[in-house]
Amino acid sequence: MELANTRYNNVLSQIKQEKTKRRRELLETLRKNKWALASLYIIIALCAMSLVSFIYTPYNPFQFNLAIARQPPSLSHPLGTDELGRDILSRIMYGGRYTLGISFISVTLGALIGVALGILAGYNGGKVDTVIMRIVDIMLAFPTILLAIALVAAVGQGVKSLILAISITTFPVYARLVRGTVLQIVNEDYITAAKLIGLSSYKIMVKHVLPNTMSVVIVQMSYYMGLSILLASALGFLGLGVPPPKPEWGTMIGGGRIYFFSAPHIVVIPGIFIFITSLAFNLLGDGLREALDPKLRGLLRRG
Amino acid sequence: MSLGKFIAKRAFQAFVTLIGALLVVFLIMRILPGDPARLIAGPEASWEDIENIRKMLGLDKPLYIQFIEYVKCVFKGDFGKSIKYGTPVINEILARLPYTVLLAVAAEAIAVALALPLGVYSALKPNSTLSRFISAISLFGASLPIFWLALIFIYIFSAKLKWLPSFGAGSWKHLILPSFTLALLLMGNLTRITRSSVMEAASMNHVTTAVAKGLDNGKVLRRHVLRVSMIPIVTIMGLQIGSLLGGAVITETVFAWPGIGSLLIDSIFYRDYPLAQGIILFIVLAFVIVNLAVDFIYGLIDPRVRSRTWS
Repeated sequence: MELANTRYNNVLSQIKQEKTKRRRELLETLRKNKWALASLYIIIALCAMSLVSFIYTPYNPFQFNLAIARQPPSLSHPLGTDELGRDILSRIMYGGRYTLGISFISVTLGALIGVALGILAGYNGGKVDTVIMRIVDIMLAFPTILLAIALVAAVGQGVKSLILAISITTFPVYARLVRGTVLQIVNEDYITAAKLIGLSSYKIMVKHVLPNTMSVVIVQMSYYMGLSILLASALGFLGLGVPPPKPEWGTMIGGGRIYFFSAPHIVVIPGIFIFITSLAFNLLGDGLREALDPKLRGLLRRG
Repeated sequence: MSLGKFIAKRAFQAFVTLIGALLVVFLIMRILPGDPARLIAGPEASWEDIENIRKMLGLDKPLYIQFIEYVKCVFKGDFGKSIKYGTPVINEILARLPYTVLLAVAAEAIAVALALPLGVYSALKPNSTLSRFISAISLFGASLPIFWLALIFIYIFSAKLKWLPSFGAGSWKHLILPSFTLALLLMGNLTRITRSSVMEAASMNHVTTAVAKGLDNGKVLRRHVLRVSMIPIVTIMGLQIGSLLGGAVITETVFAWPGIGSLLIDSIFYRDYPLAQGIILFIVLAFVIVNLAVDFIYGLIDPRVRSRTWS
């Protein structure tokens, strides 16, 4: 027992050293990847823009003025005005809280549920594993957009049901990924050692299994940020997402759609923001994947 | 594991998945806003009328009995009646299905025709400028909002150049914009899979042997690399077609293409819930069956798959 304990502590301190070394290497690799770094800066800028909108926007994003409707970009309205004469820049800034916020919350929520289920399934095996993985299979039998549409139609339009829909459609993939990773490490010596010194299953799962699944989860979260931005805005465009007049970026495109031929900027500009945001998260995901573990290349996929 | 056992096991798993999916659709149906009996009865119906309809529909029975009856109906091909059209849901779906299949097949064909050569090229010459460009394109494909891309295409090719019609179906010209839009979306994944599977196949021992014994490069590529790398590519193609059978909701809606995807959106806005449920169910069915078929083919081609258990 004594021996197992010292050995356990030795291994722990070794792991700690290894971790700081790995973290330094990770930052170094990420710094060298100029695309991932640029993406990170773009994401930070977009988040900052959305946060600034809480205290300042050039114009009131909800104030309409039909006299200046559908104006192309100009000095006083850098991104032009929309079909009701509202300032598009102000609306993009304000709308970031929906597009980015909804994606961030639902990706985090989906990851939390998925990781918990994946660890439970992989660590316990047996019946727990079978039941959880069957549920995951069932959820994966629904095409992503279809399940989201069905859930939004059932629960009703709005921010909360969007978050619910996106997190429910994404958690099964995390569960499957994490379970796979857990199965790889569950027979490692340090897990056996932790069991031998009598740590509870809960403690082993949280302290030793969870941290080892994090790199896979973080990369997948970055990809899913890219995907859920597309998903949230597509639902907004279809009229099933954040309802107007709230300037969610997809909702803005849906609203301006009938004026597209006479005033294309109303549709083009929010689309560019959606594209750049999604692209940045995908590129960051690529960068993180390479930095964290080159072996993951085949395992993780975008979108 | 023998082939028969493998097929039986996978078929059973698919069956369990299907029943589970039915349960999910059934439960989503139960939390839908509004009472279906009241919806069918209309706004002027008395409380008694509604009660009668509820009895007629079996909504007064316990939930699990309702579910069993629902499953029975579905297996008989009875998906209920559309509120809007008053016709059986299955008829509406079957009337729209040819359009969806046509779009799915056209989009997949375009995607394959473009992605295969691009993927093979970038696998063989991974560091060339063109290969970098190709991987940038496939990254863009994963990040583009498809409804926005569709609108841009309509703007360029219908409004400005006036080459192609922007919505509806009828002639082959109507098919071009929606199928190309979808194909661009599919291409990203397909190119990436082609690239990685060709690279993997090219590094296998039997290829080294073939090169070492002096076969010329074209023959090695055709006989030993492409043949091996086709398995994952065919899998992805199958899965893409499977998801297109229902997943083209957005593209169909933007181009007003009369397939089951746009029918689904219409039915949701019309609150025609029996129709919406029927479509969702139908799509999931198609998806599960295509998945199963792909698994079978996979197991047939590659015996190693059979021993790789799924649960």
